[in-house]
Parts: sequence; C-alpha cells; structure tokens
Amino acid sequence: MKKYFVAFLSLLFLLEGSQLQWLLPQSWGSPFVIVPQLVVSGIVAISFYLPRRYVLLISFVFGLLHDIVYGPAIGIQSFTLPLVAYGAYLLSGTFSLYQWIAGMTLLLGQLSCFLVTYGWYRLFGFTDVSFSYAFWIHMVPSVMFNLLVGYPIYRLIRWIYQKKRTRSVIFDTILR
Amino acid sequence: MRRSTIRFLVVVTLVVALFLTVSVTRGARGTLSAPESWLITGVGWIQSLFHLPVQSIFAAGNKPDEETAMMELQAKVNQLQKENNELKQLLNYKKEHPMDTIAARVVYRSPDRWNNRIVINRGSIDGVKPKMPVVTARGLLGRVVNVTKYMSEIQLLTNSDGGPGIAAVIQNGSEEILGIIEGYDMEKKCLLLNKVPVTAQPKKGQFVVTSQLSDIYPGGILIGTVDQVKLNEGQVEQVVYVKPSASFERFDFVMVVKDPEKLQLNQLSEQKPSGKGGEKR
Repeated sequence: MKKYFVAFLSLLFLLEGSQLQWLLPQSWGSPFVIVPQLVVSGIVAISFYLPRRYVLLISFVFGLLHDIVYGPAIGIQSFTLPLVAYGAYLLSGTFSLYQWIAGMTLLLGQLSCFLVTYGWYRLFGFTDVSFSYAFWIHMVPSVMFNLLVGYPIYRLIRWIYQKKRTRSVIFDTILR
Repeated sequence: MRRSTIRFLVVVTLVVALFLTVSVTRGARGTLSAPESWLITGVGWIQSLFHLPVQSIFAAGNKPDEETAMMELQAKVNQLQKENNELKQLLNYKKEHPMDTIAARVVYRSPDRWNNRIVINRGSIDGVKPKMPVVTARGLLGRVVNVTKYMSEIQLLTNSDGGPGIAAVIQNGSEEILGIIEGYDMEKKCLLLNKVPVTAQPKKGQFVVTSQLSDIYPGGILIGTVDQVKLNEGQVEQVVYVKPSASFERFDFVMVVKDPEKLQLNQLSEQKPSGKGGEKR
C-alpha cells in the first residue's frame, strides 16, 4: 500500500511543476496567483491511513525532493511538510473521520503549509512580498483551488487504501 | 530523561538543522553536489517527456471521431505555428544583436511565486556556465545560477534574492542615465531601478537596457520601459519603476547568452583570490 501511495504522490509532484503551470490563471494574465500544492493534499490524506512514522518519513522525503528540485534552499519544505503532516495526523486521530472533518483538516493543512512556508521565506529573505498581499492574492485563491483539487486526491488515496487493505487481509489470512 | 524533554530537544535540533542547511545551500552556488544534480536531471528528464503529449490531450479531448481528429490537427498546427513564431522571433533577435547564444527549452518551474526559479534543458555539457544572462525574444529574463551536466537553474529578474543588482541605463535621448536594478514590486509588477540621481529626468516609455559596465551582462539587452519615477525616502535619489518587456509567466524557449568578454572577466575574478593566496605563502 505504501508504495502505491508513494507512486501516486510522485505523479502529483511532477504535475506541480510542469503541466499544471500552463492551466493556472497567472499564466493567462490574471492578477490572482494560484500555487498548486498537490503533494500537501496527498500527504494530508495519507496521514489519515498510515502509522505516524511512515507519515513523517514520506512527508520528509517529499519535502526534501521539493527543496532540491523546486526550492531556493534545502530545509524549508523538508521541515514544513512533516510539521503539517504531523498536525493532520493528530487532528484526524482526535475525531472520527467524516468527510467534512477530512475537508477541514485539508483546509487547515493547506493554509498552515502556506503560512509557514511564507514565514520561512520572509525570515530568510527569499521574498519581500507584503503579508496582506501574499495572503489575499496568493494564499486565499490557492487554498480554495487546492481544496477543490484535494477532494479527488483524497478519494483516490482512500480508494487505494481500501483496495490494498482488503487484498492484503486476504493475502494474510488465506494465502499464507 | 522524561519523554517531553526528549521531544523538546528533538524539535530544537530540527530547527537548528533547518537554519544550518538553509544557510549552507542558499543562493547561487554555481555547481551543485552530485545527488542534487542527479535528482534535478532525473525530474527534468521525466517532465520533458510528458511535455508534448499532455498539451495535445488538453487541446483535443479524448473522443477519437472525425471532429476531434480535426481539432487535434488544428491544435497541432497552432502549436507548431506558435513554436515556429517563437523560434523565428528568436532568430530575428539574433540578427539584431550578434551575440553567441544557446537556445534552450524550459523544462519546469517552481510552483510557488515567492521564489522564481526555472530549469532549462541545457547544461555544462552544452557550454552553459553560472552567471550567464538568459533572454527571450522580448528581453532580459534572468541569469543562470546553478549548472548541472544536462540542466541548469535560472533565477528570474523578479526574484528579490537576486544577489548583486544589475547595472542598467535609461536611454534618455542622447544621454544615458545609470542606475541599479534591485528587487521587484509584485503589486505593481515592476522592477525597481535604484540609485538614479535626482538631476536626471527620465520620462515614461523610455527604454531601459543593461549597461556595458556590468560584470555579468553584455550591454544593450532590453530590460523594459520606464513606468513611474519617485523620490526615495531620503530624498537624495530617485527610484524608477521599470515595466519589464519580457513576460515572466509564459515562456517556452529561452536563450542563454555567451559573451566572451564577460566570461573572461568572470574567469579572471575567480582566479584572483587564489593567486593572492599563493603570493602570501
């Protein structure tokens, strides 16, 4: 199951940088900027179904990948992603997993990821965009977009989980 | 030790590690370490693979009947025309400015807009070196920061972490006004040209080009046009808002400029410190 999750996340990771960029409003001249964070959605969804150490490990690996491939310096996303994933893990463990709880967790995860990343960028001087501009023009549209796209991602992760879990149970009880 | 103490220590260690790695790996490093360049090359290669198919899928839907076949062809024609136009524009550009260039394709760009980094499919094996300027048909785009063997990372002009500023001149009739491009105003979508003397009177619409005095950029590359002029806080200099002529959102092909003079200058400035060290010993 874990390897399917990782494969799916890798696909999301590749989409973020290349093809999705052509469809987003900023490339058509809109002042609003949408930043796709598909991997964050995927990692929040994964944190519902995997034990803690795997959630942390997978989010760290994808954070590091993001830092090396897209980011300005190594360390920012590889710190932020496990933080967000751990938060989502704690939150989803506290409540029983209705869909709206999953949605709220996703919203909080996305928003906190944006805020923490922006904070690090401001602290290290990678950006000097003012907070209100970054919040209203970048983060709010991005969070809404990522919620919309995050729902199918969450359903797909759940589908993989249910498929693979039942199969592994059969494997454990009958084939072995 | 209590569990909570251990957790606290782990978190503190992680934050310290974050600060360390960021300060070590930030900025223009020239060449990257081997694992990083493998990852960048690998991801870039995979992304360049699904560059072409996905565009035609979006253009044409997925029903294989006559109409969609027509649409598919139309999309293909459009795409080829666009490609052709872009390449032709690049060629014209080449004729106007006889500079040696390396044409390259953008492989991917960073999804967030708070740092602006793109990766192109030409690397040190094709002759790309760090600090080389990158242009499109419409004007200056940025410069090469890190080079791997097959790919290189470009920092766009819009990045505020752009290191030293770019020496630029405003073409004001017969005279030239010197200034330094530092930073980008995201809200106005303008580059900031600082250190312009108060006596100068630039007017809206005048061209801003790179200065011959810069140690990275060859002179005369178009950056943009003057949009707005303001006094700075101390009232001793002017800040000129420059509307960039290149689009920082849609680009597919770019060119890396090889200027032999500036390359030699860079090599000399790199050799200098080591030579001094040798004399001291």
